[in-house]
Amino acid sequence: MLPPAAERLVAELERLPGVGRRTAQRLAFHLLRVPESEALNLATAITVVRERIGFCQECFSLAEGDLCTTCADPRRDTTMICVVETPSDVIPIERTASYRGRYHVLGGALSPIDGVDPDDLRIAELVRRVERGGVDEVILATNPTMTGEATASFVAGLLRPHARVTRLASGLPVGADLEFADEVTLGRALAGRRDL
Amino acid sequence: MRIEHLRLRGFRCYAAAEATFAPGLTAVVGANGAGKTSLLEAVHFTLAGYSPRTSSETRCIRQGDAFFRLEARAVSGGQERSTTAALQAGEPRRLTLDAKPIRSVAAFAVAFECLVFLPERLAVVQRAPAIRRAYLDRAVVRADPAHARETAAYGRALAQRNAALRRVRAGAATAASLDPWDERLATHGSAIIEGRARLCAALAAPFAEVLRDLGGGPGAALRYAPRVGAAELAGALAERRSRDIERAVTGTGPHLDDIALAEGGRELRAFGSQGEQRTAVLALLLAEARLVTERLGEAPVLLLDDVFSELDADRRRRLIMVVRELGQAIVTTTEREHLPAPPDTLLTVRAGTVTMSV
Ligand SMILES: Nc1ncnc2c1ncn2[C@@H]1O[C@H](COP(=O)(O)OP(=O)(O)OP(=O)(O)O)[C@@H](O)[C@H]1O
Ligand SMILES: [Mg+2]
Ligand SMILES: [Zn+2]
Repeated sequence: MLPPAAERLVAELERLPGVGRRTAQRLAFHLLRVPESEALNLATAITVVRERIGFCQECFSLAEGDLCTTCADPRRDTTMICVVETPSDVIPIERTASYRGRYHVLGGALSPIDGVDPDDLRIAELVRRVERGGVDEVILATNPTMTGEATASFVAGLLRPHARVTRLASGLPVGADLEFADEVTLGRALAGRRDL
Repeated sequence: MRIEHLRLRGFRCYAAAEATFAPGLTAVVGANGAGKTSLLEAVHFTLAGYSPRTSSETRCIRQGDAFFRLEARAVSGGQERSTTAALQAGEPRRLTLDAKPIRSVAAFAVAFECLVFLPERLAVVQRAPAIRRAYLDRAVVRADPAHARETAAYGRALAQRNAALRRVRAGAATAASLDPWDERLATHGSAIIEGRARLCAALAAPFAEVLRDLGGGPGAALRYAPRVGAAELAGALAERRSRDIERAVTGTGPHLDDIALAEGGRELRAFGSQGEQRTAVLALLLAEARLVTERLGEAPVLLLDDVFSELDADRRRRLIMVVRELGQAIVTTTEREHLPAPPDTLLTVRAGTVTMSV
C-alpha cells in the first residue's frame, strides 16, 4: 500500500486517457524520483494552462482569451467554416497552408454506443453561427471513419438549407484520423472537396 | 496454382516432417488421429496465411514445442514462390513470401487461391442463416477483397444504429439522431446486397452444373433473395423506424437475409439427406473454384478433408472426376479403398510421420 498522498497521485494519473494502473504507478514513482523543481514544473504548467486556455467562444478551438488566434485574425476569410472533431484536427489543416477560412470544433463525433448524441457536440452552436449569415460554405472535415462520416451526414442535413456544404475528397486513408494525414494528401483532399 | 513441397516443424502432431504433392491429385490416408487434417491445415496456413480450423492458432503449436514453422514451395502464375509461416505463443504470426516479411493476411492471400472443405463446413447447408451469410460474404471478399471494408463497416453501422435506437427509446436522444445511422446503414448495406447478388448470380449456373456432375438431382438452385433490394433499403429503414425504436433493434437489412439452396425443388436444409447435403456443400465450393479459375486463368488449390464419408461409390468417383478436371487437389480419407482410382501421389500419415508410397 502507498502512502495516501502518493495513492492520490496514482489515482489522478490513472484517470488520464490511455493510462492504466501500472503506468500511473510508474509515472508517480518517476515524479517522486526527479528533482522537486522538475515535478513542480509539470504542476505549474497544468495550473497555467487551465487558467489561461479555454475554448474559443466562436469556434470552440483552444484559445488564450475569448477568441482563438484564427477567429481573432481579421485576415481570415469569414465566409468559410471548416468543421472538425477535435482541436488537434485544426493543426494538420493549418499545416497545408491552403485553407484561409475559420473553423468549428464539434468536440467529438456522434457515437450512440459511447453515449455521444447530437446534444453532446457543439452542433447547435454551429447551426446558429451559420444561420447568423455571412457564411457561404461549410467544409465538413470530420474523420473518414464510421462515426466521422455519420457526423458529417447529420450536420450536412441541418446546414444545407443555409449554406453550401462540402466534404473533403476521399483519398484520405479510410478509418484513419485526420490528425495523422500528411499535408500533401490533406491539401489535395481540401482542393478536391465535393458537395454533400 | 499448386503447392509442391511442405516442411513442417512443431505443427500439431508433427515434430518434424515433410511432404511432396502431385500437380494433380494427392491422397492423404491414415487412421483417426493420424494427422490428416493437420497436414491440410498446414498447407492452408502456408498458402492463405491462417488456419482454416481455429482462430486460436497457438493450438497449432505442438504440445511441448515453443513454436511452429512451416516452409512451402509453390507455383503461382507460372512462377516458383516460397512461403513460410511461423508462430510462437504470445507473438504475432510471422509470414514471408519469397523471403520477404508480409504484414497482413490480406497482402499474403493475393499470391495464392486455395479453397478448403472441412467436415464442419456442412453447417453451411445444415445450420442457421447466419452461417450461410458469413460463408457467402467471405466468398464475395475472395472475389473482391475491397468488399471486406463494406462488411466491416455495415457491422459497425448496425451496432451504432441499434445503440441509437435504445437511446431514443429511453428518451436520451431524439428520433432525428437516427438519421445519420440510417444513411450509413443504407450505404454499406446496399453495397453488401449488390455484392452478394453479383456473386450468387455468377455461382448459380456452375453450382447447378457441378451438383449434377456430382450425382445430384436436377432442379438445383442457389438463390439470394434479399428481403429488401439495394435501392429500397433506405426507404425500408425509414418505414420501419417507429417499430425499430419500440423493439430497439434493426428489423430489416442484409444482416437478416438468407440464401436458398435447393435440389429437385426441395430446400436442402430441411429435406436433404446427409449425402445430399454434403454433395451440395462440395458443389458450392467447386462452383466457386470454377469462378476463381475463370477470373485468374488458373485453378485454386483444393483442400478436401474427409470428403468421402457419407458418399456412395458412384458419388466418390464423380467427385474425383470433377476435382481432377479443375487442377491440384489434396484429399484426405481414412480408407484407402474409398479412393475410386489410384491418386497421382499417395501420402500415408501415421504418428506424426508422412511417407510417400507409389
Ligand atoms: N498442438 C498439438 N500438439 C500435439 N498433438 C496435437 C496438437 N493438436 C492436435 N494434436 C493431435 O494430432 C493428432 C492428429 O490430429 P488430426 O486432426 O490431424 O487427425 P486426423 O488424421 O485428421 O484424424 P480424423 O480422421 O479423426 O479426422 C490427434 O491425435 C490430435 O490430438
Ligand atoms: Mg481429420
Ligand atoms: Zn475560434
